[in-house]
Amino acid sequence: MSCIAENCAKTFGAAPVFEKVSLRVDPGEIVCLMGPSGAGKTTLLRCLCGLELPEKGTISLSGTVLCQDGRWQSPVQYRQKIGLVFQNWNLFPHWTVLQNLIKAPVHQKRMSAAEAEKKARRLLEQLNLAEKADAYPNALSGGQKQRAAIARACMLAPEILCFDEPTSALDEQSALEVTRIIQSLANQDGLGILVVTHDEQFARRTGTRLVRLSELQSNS
Amino acid sequence: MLKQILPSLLAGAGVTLQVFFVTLMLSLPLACLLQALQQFSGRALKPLFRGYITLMRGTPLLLQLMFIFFGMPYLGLTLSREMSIYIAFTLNYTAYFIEILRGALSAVDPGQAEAGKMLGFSRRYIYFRIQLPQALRTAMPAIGNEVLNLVKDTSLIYVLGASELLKAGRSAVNTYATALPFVFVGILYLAMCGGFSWILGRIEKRISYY
Repeated sequence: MSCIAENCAKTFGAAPVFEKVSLRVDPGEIVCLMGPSGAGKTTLLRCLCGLELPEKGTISLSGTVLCQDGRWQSPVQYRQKIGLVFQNWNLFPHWTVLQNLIKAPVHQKRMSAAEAEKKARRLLEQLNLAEKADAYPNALSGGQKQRAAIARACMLAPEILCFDEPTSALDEQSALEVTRIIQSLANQDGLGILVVTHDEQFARRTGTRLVRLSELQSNS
Repeated sequence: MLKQILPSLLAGAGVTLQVFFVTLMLSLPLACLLQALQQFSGRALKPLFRGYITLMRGTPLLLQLMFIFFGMPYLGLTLSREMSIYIAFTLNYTAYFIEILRGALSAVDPGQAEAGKMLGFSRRYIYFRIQLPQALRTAMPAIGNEVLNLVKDTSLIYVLGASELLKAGRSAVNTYATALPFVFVGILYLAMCGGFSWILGRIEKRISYY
């Protein structure tokens, strides 16, 4: 049930972004990955989500191997177990909030449309978005978009949920709300959470473990 | 006189509209499909697409029409006049629509496809249900331009001897020795383009719901 990256290395062109990085995220823990801008935090997150292919190392999640030494292994099965809340949320603007939530599980044939809608409405209720179910994403505030994106990711019941800079576009109040939601996902639903952030205050109050990219590199 | 020439002008406008609708109904969906093929095929088919688009955009539609109707028989393929017209117009307009779509698709945030990937949508689903609807909205003004061009480009088929609107007007001018039929022809083109502009405006409004 743990997401494990071992000795991963990623380069863009000739420049190495990171080398020999290892990271483990266990169920119920909230790992905050810190580091200055441009250090490669987001790139590591994208590697862990299967959006980038590291040249070296292995990434796996509860036995499903995403990639090994620069070759994809089971990316489709792997991505079914991991969710990502993007920095700018990437909600689908031409679909309502409800449609954003239910299309994926129905497309993957994991639920019937009725089941998906039921689950979606329950999630939206929990996240205080019930009255926005039929709104289009552009009509939502930043905090509401964030919660819609969280709900969308949770529809697929991931084992690990990743967040890329979740507070970068939010005011203080919404950021506190995100802390509450993340903690409830980890404590009540037992998700492993990985948050990439440079918001020190947010990381300290939210995370169960704070790591810096530089600390993850082994020098052996 | 108007009473006498109007039936032939309207019959000509009918032919014009027929070519217009057939071309539009074939070329726009075909462009969506071919653009998908181009996107999914990676590098393999790129040169083929570039060649096709360069050929269609780099030579006059008039030449393409003449080549297919008058030229192909020398290569052993004789096509009917209607068939030649539909093939030439569809090939030509598909090329332009592909280019419009390519531009509009590149304006869709790449994060949309990434979000689709993370949610386990297939590539086909991501293209047709997530990227294409957003691209079509961006592309509507450019598509509208091509639609109006198409109305007027149909006048080219008179070189193949088809009795479309312009040709009907010209024979009326010759018969009655007056320039007036040309004015009527112009009014009919204006009316058609005006109608289509209005419809395009409605469609644009309709798809701007978000």
